[in-house]
Order: sequence, then C-alpha cells, then structure tokens
Amino acid sequence: MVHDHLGFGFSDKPDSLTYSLIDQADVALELWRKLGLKQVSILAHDYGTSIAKEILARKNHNLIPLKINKIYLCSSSMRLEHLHLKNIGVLLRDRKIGKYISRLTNFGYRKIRRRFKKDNINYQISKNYDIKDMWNQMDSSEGQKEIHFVSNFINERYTFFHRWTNALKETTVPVKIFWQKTDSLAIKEIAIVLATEEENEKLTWVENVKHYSILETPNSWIKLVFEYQNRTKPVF
Amino acid sequence: MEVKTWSEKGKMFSVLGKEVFVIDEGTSENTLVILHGYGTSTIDYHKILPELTKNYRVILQDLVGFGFSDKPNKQYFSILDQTDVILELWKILELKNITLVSHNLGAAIALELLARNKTSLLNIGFKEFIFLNSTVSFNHEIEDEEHDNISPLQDFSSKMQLMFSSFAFYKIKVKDFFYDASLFSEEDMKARWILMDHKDGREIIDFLANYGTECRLLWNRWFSALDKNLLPCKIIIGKNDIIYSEVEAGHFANHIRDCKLYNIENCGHYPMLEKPEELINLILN
Repeated sequence: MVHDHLGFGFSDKPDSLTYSLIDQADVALELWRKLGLKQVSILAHDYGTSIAKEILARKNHNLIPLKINKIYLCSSSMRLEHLHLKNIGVLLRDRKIGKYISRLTNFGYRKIRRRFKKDNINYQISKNYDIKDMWNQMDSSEGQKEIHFVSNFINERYTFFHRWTNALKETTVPVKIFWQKTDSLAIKEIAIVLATEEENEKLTWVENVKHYSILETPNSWIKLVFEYQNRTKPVF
Repeated sequence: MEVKTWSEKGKMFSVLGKEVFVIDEGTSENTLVILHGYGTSTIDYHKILPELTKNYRVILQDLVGFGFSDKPNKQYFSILDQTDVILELWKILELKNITLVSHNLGAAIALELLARNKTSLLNIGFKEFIFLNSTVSFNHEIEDEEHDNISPLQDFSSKMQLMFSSFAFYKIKVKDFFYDASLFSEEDMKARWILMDHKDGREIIDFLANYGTECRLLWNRWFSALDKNLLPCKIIIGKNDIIYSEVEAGHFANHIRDCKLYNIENCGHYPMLEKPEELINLILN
C-alpha cells in the first residue's frame, strides 16, 4: 500500500496554507483504516519518516488499534544538529520570504536536472523523462506555491524533536534504519548517532548511492526489507 | 487556599509514565473537565469547584509541567504530548458526556482534542466546549498591519522570565493580569508560587517560544477542526484581559457555527479568581 501524501503527486493540494506532519499522520491512519488494514510494516523515506515517528508516538500512547510489526526508516534526518541546511532551505523556512523563493523555483527544472546528475552516480535517473515527470507533478495544481509551506516540516521536526525521539526510545516495535552512505542530503553521521542511541534499532548501509536510492537501486531495497522480515518470519 | 488542603482533595495517577495530579469530585452523569492555563495549576479553580460539583462530575488535572504533576526536564513537552496524556487519563477514568472548559494553554490542548476527535480513530464523548479568555492567539493568515500584534506571546516570554525570577517580582507583575488585583489574595498568590516552584518547575517554565511555534504550526489543523465542529461552544472573556483581545474573540465566535460569546465586565485574565460567581453562572446556564 503506497499513497501520495497530501500536497504531493496526484493527491490533493489543499488551498489551506499549511498541512502539518500531524495532519499527514491522521490522513495515513484514516486511509489505512478505510482499507481495513490491521497489521502493517511501515517503510518510510525522508519526509515520510517524520510521519512514521508521529504514528509510532500515537501507538506508544495507546491511541491506535493498528498492529505495527516493523518500521523501516530511510534517510531520517532526526538529529538536526547534524543536519546542515542548504541556504535555500533556510530561506524557504522564512515565512515572509518563502513564498517568493518558491515562485523562483519555477525556473528550477534545469536546476533540478543538474542536481540529479550531480548527486546521483547512476545516470539512468537523470534521463529527461524521469525528471520531467517529477517536475510536472510538482507543477500540477499549482503545487509549487505550496512547496514553501511544506517546508514547515523543518520547523515541526524541531518542535517535536523530543516527542519523536522518545517515541523511538520507548517503542517495542522493531525499528530498522537504512542509510545511503554517500547521501548528500542526510549525512551518514546522523545514521550512526541514531543507531548507537536506540538499542533496538539496527542499521544497514546502502553502498554507493545517494538520496534517491529507491529509484537508483530498487533491488537492494527490496533485498534489505525482506532479509530483515525473514529473520523472524518463515520464508514464503 | 492552602497548598496542603488542596493536595488532599486529589490523587496522583500514573499516566503514560508521568505522575499526574487529579481531582475527581461530584457524582453526576455529566462530566466537566477543566484544563488550566499556562503558569498556573488546578488550585486557581478552588473558588468555583464546590458550586460546579453540584451539577457535574468535575475533573481537574494539573497538566504535565505544572502544579503537583511531573515536570520533565530538558525537553519540550508538546501540546501533542499533553493531549495524549489527557486522552489516556480519560480512558482510565472512563469519562463520558464531557463538557470541556479550557484556559489559554489548555485551550490549545482542547483544540488538538477537537482535531483528534475529527478522525474516526477516536470517539470522545464531547458535549460542549467552553473557552475561557482564549481560543488560541495565533493566526498567521491575518498578519497585516491592522492585526500586526495579534500574538503577544513573543514579547511575553521576556516578561515571564522576569516574573518567575523571584516571588517579589511575581507579586508585582502578576497584578497586571487582573482588573482588581485585590481579589487575588496573598494566600492564593503564595500557593501559586509554591506550586510553580515545586519539583523545580521554575526551571522549565519558559517554554513559550516552543509553544508559540507549535501553535503556529498546528494553527491550520485546529482551525479546520473548528470549522467542521458541530458541538455547541461558549467563549467567555474578561473584558480587561491584557493578553487576549475582544477582536480576536469576536473573530472566533463568528467563525464557529454554534457559538455564544460572553463578556465579564471589570475582569482580567483570571475570571475564576476575580469573578467566580459570574463565571459559574455562565458555565452552568
């Protein structure tokens, strides 16, 4: 089961100015309930890991009937003191300047393409159609206007830092961390700190890929997920 | 009210790993839950509790970080965490037909509870919402010249730091929040100070910056929950409150479907201490 978060992809991009990670958690939980899911393993990447942690906090606090078997976190930038914000991120965070900056990113298609080329060793992803798809989706329903509001999530990670760290510390659900060694967005020190901090977490490095490893090396992802699953479950 | 006398009224409950002080009085089928505000505790409500228990089962709890409850150090205990604790406590106490009274920080928790209740994951038996002197003082959408200073929270933090630095300062500064400060007795003032200081509470009291950020981040979530709300609401304000404006109260009252706005004349930020009779009437009528 995979869904586009509110404000992304084909999903609604509401006019209301901010939708918080907390709302995203509500949406996910409500959707899973509608689909009748009872037992789940959650695989979360980047922005999604914050939502997963909020769901975990609710689970710890007896607020969700759903059974969570395992949680996989990939590139979760939890320790913000280890996260070096790029200048654009800082500007986007500013409430007044942010909206102009996100308008400027209209010019960003070429920039994104360059960025992908630079950050990804595997050149297949930089084929034009892939980037064009991503860009068009961001551009749809005036998505780019909302980008700076989505950037609010940086602030949310500051505010709920303790809530979410405690969620990881207190949980009995096994948590597994995937990390790309050379990820330029979420640096590897964060992963090391996370893995040493929480006892029940296990860390696996994904070699030689960058931030979008799901696209670059899908097979290694699949292998990692199933390897971990199979440790406690029979092979099917 | 003496701190000791007050402490004998309630019990400590262990909720999600935190010790929480709870007073549970009255035998009615209908429950009235009071969420106190920032920098105070349940003891503020000692003047109105006896009258309310005649009509309701009244639940008063010290929020985590205040009064007799645990005061977690070196971390921000967010509105979301507070909400989780409240929900767990309500489960333990098996509360039904809840009328929820809330005051500043408590109002933020009430709004989060309203937002949680919107999903089908929870079904809280709410009957009515009563907001005292505050809904939530933040709307970043009306940030123009006219409403430039809609949230006084920012300037507030430094004032608070001074206020909490010593009892002598506190006595002077807290009077600003009253219309007639003589109604806040020396004994009550002392009790509030003792409870604030209890378990090193003064060390953690200045979390207003985080609180302000959280309110701003969740503002839209809360606002849309209010938008969909069908339950009756009351907003009760002291006319002379220095941190909550009538404009804002009016804005909220217009926005909520079934909402009545009541003013208490010659009253500041703490109607439960300054005008207890009027407040009781407004809650019960």
